[in-house]
Amino acid sequence: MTRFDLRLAFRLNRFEIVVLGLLIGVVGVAAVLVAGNLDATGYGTTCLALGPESPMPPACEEAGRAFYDIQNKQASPVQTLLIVLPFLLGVLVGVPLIARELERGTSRLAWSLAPSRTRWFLTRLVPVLLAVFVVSLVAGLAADRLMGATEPTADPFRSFAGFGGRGIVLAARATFIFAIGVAVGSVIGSVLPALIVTAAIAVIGLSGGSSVHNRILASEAVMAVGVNGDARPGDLFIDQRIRTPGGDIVTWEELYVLLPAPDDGTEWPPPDYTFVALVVPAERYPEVQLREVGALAAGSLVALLIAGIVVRVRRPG
Amino acid sequence: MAAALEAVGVGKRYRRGRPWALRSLDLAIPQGAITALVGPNGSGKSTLIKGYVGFERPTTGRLLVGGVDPWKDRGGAIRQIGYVPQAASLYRELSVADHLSLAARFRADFDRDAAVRRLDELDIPLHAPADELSGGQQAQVGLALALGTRAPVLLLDEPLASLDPLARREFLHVMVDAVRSVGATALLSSHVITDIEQACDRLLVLGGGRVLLDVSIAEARAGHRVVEAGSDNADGIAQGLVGRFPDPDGRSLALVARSDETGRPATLEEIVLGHLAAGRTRRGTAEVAA
Repeated sequence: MTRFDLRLAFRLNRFEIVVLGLLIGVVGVAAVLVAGNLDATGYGTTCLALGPESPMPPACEEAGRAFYDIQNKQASPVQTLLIVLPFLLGVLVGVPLIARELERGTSRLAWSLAPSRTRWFLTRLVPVLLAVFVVSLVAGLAADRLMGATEPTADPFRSFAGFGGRGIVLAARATFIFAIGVAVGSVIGSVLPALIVTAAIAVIGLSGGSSVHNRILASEAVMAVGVNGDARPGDLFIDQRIRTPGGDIVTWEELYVLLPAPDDGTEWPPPDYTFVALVVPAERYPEVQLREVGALAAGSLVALLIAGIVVRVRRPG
Repeated sequence: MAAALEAVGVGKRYRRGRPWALRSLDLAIPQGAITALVGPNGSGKSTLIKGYVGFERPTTGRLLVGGVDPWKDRGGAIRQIGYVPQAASLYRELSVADHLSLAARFRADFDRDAAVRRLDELDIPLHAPADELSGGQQAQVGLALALGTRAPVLLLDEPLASLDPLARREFLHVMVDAVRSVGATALLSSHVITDIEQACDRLLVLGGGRVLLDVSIAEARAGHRVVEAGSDNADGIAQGLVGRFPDPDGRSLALVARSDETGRPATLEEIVLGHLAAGRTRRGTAEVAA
């Protein structure tokens, strides 16, 4: 990759990269500032850190009000933007990368000059791919910082809170959507229809992928070891189970069969049946994160391989 | 003389059930020739040129650029080709200089200095964005890029179509000068017969996807006469009739393939019109027979 390739990529995708990059930069800075505001209330360090059993000092009431006010009014919108903007970046930069060349006919010039279309494709792809990944990683890290401030008792790097909407997973998801956009754009060869198809595939792909991953995580869940079997901050809650007096763990459906609910209004289930949480422990976050990033990277690679093959064989528009 | 561009039994159909864009085409364009590729819309001119660039794959037969099949070795074929598409196809976000850098990025032997000199002579500013250039200037940039590749074969797909007469003349002047100076081969597709008459030394007429005429322009001129379709010329028309077509006043003219004193010498435009008319008649007869 030469300086010219970088300059060319920037020139040809200037609008999308500059506008969305700046927007993500601004929102990223906003996230850091909001996180600072949340920290400044002192609610996390002096109140929540005491734990649920300890009585809260009177000052915590005021600090809590300020903390949740900032969380609702500032942190939530910023968090939403930090999730949405990288996805927009992926779609709006990925789709036109090849589709616009085909639509405007510049591919005719480029492909008549380049003896290898694969080399041309890589020249066009790599700088933009890196830009999308880096910019969305900035958004992901800003979201990590904000999450750390909104969930002060959890370590953002050992917590499932906001999973998928922050850190490297957010960057990997944006990159995956970018790759889908490149592939769809190279097949359809027209920007607007490709945008619509990419958005549909991205929604189906990400929700389907999340659903599969959630099933895998459910199969790996363990009983929570926290107080009263509750999930600890940062654990990924999967389901609730009931522990029978004999020590068996059953689901609600099984309990209905085992111990039908009485009609006379007596407490059900009885107090000797306790609730337990089925969770993926927070300690597994780095490993689970890596697995999702790996799957998204593989999906992105497949999409980009398809795009590369399409570029090699298709008409230039 | 070895052929720079060949077609061996080439047929092209875009979809099953659709008409053939090219049918059983056999061609051999000699090295160093500037060949005019002429024919009506849909005659297969662009399809043939795109086939040589590797943008279209023949349904039957094969095309060869300097002996290389573009569909089997696209890189090998592209290295021998400078291509000027119908529309200049420049990147509107890039300057003229950026386009030269782009060409140099992909073609190691791209002659940037020659391209710059050529554009300087035409007063085309290197730092101007492509979308601020006139149609004629954009076409000249496209030509400078193609010539800068120093490819032995230049393929020009109706580059004159959207140019005004002066821009057309300038374009052809630059092209002919450059091609002749290095002994390259050029295939120029165009509708504007008066312009190509001065620029080209061979004539290739396509109609309905078939070759209707493939000769040098000198041979075409020497071997054709035009006869006004009146009773005094019945003998002249009967022998060697190629086709009939109307003149601008509506009188019926006949093109005959003769080199004697019959009628008057045919202009290049009349030669093309006569052969196109003959092609249409042949197609009509074939369709009726089918």
